[in-house]
Amino acid sequence: MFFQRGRRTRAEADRIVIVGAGEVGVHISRRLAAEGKRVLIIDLSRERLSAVEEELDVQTLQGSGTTPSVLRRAEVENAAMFLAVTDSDEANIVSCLFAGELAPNLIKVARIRHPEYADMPSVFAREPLKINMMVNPEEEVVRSIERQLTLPGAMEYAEFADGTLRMASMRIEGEPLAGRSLMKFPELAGDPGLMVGAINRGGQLLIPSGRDTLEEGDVVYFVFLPGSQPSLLRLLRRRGGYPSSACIVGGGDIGFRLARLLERREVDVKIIDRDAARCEFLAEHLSDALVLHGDGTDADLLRQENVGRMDAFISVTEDEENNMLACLLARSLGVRETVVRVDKAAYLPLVEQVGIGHSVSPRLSAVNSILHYFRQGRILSSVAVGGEAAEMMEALVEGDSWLDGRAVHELGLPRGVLLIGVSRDGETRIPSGGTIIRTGDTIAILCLRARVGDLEKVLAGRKA
Amino acid sequence: MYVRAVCFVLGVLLVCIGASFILPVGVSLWFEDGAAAPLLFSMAGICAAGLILSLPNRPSRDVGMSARQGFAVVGLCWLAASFAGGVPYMLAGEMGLTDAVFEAASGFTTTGATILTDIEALPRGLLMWRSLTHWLGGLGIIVLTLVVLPLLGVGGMQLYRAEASGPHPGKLTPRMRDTALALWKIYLLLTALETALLMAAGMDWFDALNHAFSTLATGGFSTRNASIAAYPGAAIQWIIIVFMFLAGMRFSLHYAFLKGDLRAYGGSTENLAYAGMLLICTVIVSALLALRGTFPLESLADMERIVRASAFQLVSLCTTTGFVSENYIGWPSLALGILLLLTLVGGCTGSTAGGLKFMRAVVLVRAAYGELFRLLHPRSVRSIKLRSGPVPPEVLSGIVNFFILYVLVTLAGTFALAAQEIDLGTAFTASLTCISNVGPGLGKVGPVDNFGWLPAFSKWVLSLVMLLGRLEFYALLILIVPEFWKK
Repeated sequence: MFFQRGRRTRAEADRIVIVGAGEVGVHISRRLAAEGKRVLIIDLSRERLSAVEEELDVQTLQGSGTTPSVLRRAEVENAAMFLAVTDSDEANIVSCLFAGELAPNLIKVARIRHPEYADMPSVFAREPLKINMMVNPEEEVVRSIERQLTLPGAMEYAEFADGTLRMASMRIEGEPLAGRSLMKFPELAGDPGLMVGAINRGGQLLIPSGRDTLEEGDVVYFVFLPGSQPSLLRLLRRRGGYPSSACIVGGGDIGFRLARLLERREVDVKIIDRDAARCEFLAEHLSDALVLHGDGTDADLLRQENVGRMDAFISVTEDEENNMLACLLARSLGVRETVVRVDKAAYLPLVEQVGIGHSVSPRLSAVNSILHYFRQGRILSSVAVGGEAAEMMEALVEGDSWLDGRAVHELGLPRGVLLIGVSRDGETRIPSGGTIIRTGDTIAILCLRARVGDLEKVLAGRKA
Repeated sequence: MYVRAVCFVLGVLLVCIGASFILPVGVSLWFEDGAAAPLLFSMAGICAAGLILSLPNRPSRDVGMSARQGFAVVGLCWLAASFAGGVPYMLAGEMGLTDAVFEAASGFTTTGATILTDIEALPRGLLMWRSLTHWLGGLGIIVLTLVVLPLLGVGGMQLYRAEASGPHPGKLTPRMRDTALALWKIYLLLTALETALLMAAGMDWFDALNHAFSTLATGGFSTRNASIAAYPGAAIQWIIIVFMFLAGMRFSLHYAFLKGDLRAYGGSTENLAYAGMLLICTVIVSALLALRGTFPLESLADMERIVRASAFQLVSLCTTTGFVSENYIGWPSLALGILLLLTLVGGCTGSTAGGLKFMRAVVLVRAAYGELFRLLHPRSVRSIKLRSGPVPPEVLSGIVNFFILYVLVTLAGTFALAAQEIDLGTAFTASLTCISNVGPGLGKVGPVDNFGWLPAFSKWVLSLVMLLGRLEFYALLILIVPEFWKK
C-alpha cells in the first residue's frame, strides 16, 4: 500500500525507457517529460547523461542499452514502452530483442535506417523481435521534402487520418487575406474543405477564434482536405505542382533518395557532393541527374551551373550550418524555393527569420513519428506544430466516450484547442459547429502544448 | 528574472515552514502551556512573509535552473529557515536573537547542540518545535518543497543535488517529485514505527514523538535535560540505537528494500563499511570499558549494560545524532578517540546523517593505498572500485577537495573560538561536532554540558559552521565567491 513491490507491479502506463541520449532520444524525453511522463534514459556516455539530467526531469542510467543487466536495472518489465533510438541500427535491434525477452508485453519502437533492413519489415514484426514500430527518419524526410516542393510556400506540412487531412503553414503576403477577419474566411475561400487552424504571429502561436484577424506577415496553419489544395493555392495566389528543375546539395542517403524520386517525376536534377567517391556512386546509380563534385557553399560553382535559374534548391548535407549558408546563397542567386536540413531544434526559428523557407529534420521527423505512435488508447497520433508550441492529435471516439452523439459546439473545448477534422468510414470532413460526433469517428485536434493535459481529460471522459 | 525564481522558491519554503507550525501549536493548546500565542504569531508572520515573496513571483512556466542557481537557492533557503525557525523562541521570550538563531540552525541542520541549560523548563509547544526543526531539516527542507512544487520539475534536480549529502545523489524514480515523495514516505514510515515502539516501551506519546523526530533526523534534541540517560530502560535505548542506525543509512537502500530487493543492504560497499566499522568499534570500546573497570562487570546484566552503553554512544555519534545515554567524559582515552573518529566520519551518503560520510572515507583510504601501491608498481593502472561500480576520477578529486574544505573549515572554526580564549580542546571538538552536525563534543561542550555559555561571536561562528557542514559547503560558499555575482 505504501510502496509497490517491484516484481509484481503491472506496467506503469506512463513509464518509458529510452535507449540513446542523442538528439532523437533527448527530444522525445523533453516532450514526454514536459507532459509529466516517467522517463528513464540509457546511454553509454556519462557526460551526455549529466547534460540531460541538468536539463530535464528524467532519470538516467549509464550503461549499454543492449545488455540485459542494464535493461533489468532500468526496470523495463515495469515500463509501458521501450524506444531504441541510438544511431546504430544493430544496437537498436539487439536492445529490443533483450527488452522483449525481459518484458514480453512491452511496446517496442526502434529507429532503423538501413534501407535493406527497412525492405524486410516482416522480420522485425515477427517473434522474437516483435518490434511494434520502426522509425526511418531519412525516408520520412524525403517524403516531406517532396510534399513541400509540391506545395510551394509551405513551411511546415503534416498529414493525418492516412493522408485524408492535411495541414500546411504559409506566410500571409498581401491580398486577399491580409487584414481580413476570420469571420470572412469561409466566404473568401469558397471551399468548405479549407480552414485556419493556427496562427504564428511574431513567434507566438495562437489558436484563433472568429474574432481574430489575419495580419500581413502571419504564418498561418491551414487545414485542408486533399481535394482543396488547389483552392488553397489559388487563395494565396501561388502555383503548385513539381518544380521543373531542382538542385540538391549533399549526396548522402537523403539526397540520393530524393534525387531518384525527382528523376522519376521528370524533374531536371543537379546533385552536388563534396566527396569524389560518393559522386561516382551517385553517377552510377542515378540515370539522368547531373552529378557535380564540389561544395554547396561554393558561389562560383553555383553560378557556373546557373543554379539561380532553377526552381528549387535543397541542401541536405550532415553539416547544418553549411546547409543554411548554401540555401542563403541560392536565394541570393534568385532561387525561389529552398529547403534546408536542420537537426538542432535551436536553429529552426532561424530558418524562418533568415527567409530560407522550408526546413526538414530527420531527427525531428523521428521524434514526431514516435510520438505519433506513443499516444496510447484514445489518442492515435500527434505531431508537433510550430516548433514545440502546439500539437496536432488524432483520437478515436470509443463506444463509451461521452463525445458520442454530441455536436461540436456542445463540447466546450478549452481555449487553445480546435477540432479540425472528423473522419468517418474513411472520409474526412472539416467540422462546423453543428457537426455531430459518433462512435468510431477519428477526430483531429489542434492543441496548444499547455492545454494537452486538459484535452486528454476531455477525451478520457466517459458516458455517465 | 532569476531573482524572481529565487524569491518564489524562498517564499514557498517559508509557507511550508509556517504551515508546519500547526503541530507545535496543537501541542501547545493540548497541554495549555501558554506558548500557543507566540507560536501562532510566528506561524502567521512566516506564512505571510512567504506569501508576499512567492505570490507575485509565481513563474508562468517550468523554471529551468542551472547548477549554480540551484546551489545559491539552497544556500539562501537554509539561511532564511535558520532565522525563521528562531522566531518562536524570541517571541516566547525564551531567547535573544543570537541564541534563537543558534538553536534553530542547530535544529534544522540536525546538529542538536543546544544553548539551553534547563530544557524541561521550556513550554511543550516550543519543545515540539525544536524536534520538528530536526525532522524537517533531516531529509532536507528543500526536498519538502519539491513535493509541493511540481513547477520546479527541471530546477528540482539542481536543488535536490545541492542539498543532498554525498557526491552524486541520483534519482530513485524518473520524476523528481516522485523521488521526493518516496523519500518522505520512508521517513514517515520509520518515524511512525519508532514512535509506536517507544510508546510500547513505556514513553508517553509526547516524548515518544519528539524522540522519534530527533532520532530519524539524526538530530539529538531531547525533551529531557539528561537526554536519553533519563530513560535507563534497556528497551527504549535499544530501540533508539536501531533507529539511529537505520537513519544513518542511505535512504535509497531502504527504498530498494521496501520495493522488494532483499539484498539491497549488502550491495553497497558504504553500507558494509558503516555496519562493519560500528560493530568492530563496539567490540573494542566494550572491551575497554570492561577491562579498565569503568563499569562494574559482575553479571550478565552488567555485560549487557556495557555493550548497550558503548553501542549507544558509538551509534549516536557516528550517525551524528548526539543523544547521550552515559556521560562518556570519564571513559578511557582510546574510547574517546574512537568516538571522535566516528564523529568525523559520520553516517552514509544520502542519509539524514552529517559528517564526512563513509563513502568518502572508504574512497579516500583506498586512494591513499593506491598511491602506495603505485610506488611499488609504477606502471600499474588501477581504479578505485565500490560495489556499485568504479569511482570516476572526477568524483575522486571532488572527494579530495571536499575533505580539504572539511579540514579547513573545522580549523577556521577552531581558531575563531580559540581567539575568544576558549581552550583548544573545547574549541576543536565544538567546531568538529558542529561541522558534522553531531551535537556534543568534549571539554566544556561535553555530553552533559551545553553551548549557552559561549560568547555571542562564537555562537554565530558555530551556527555558520553547522550550516556549512549540513550543506556540504558549496551551497553557502558559492554565495561568497565573487565570480558567482558576475553576470
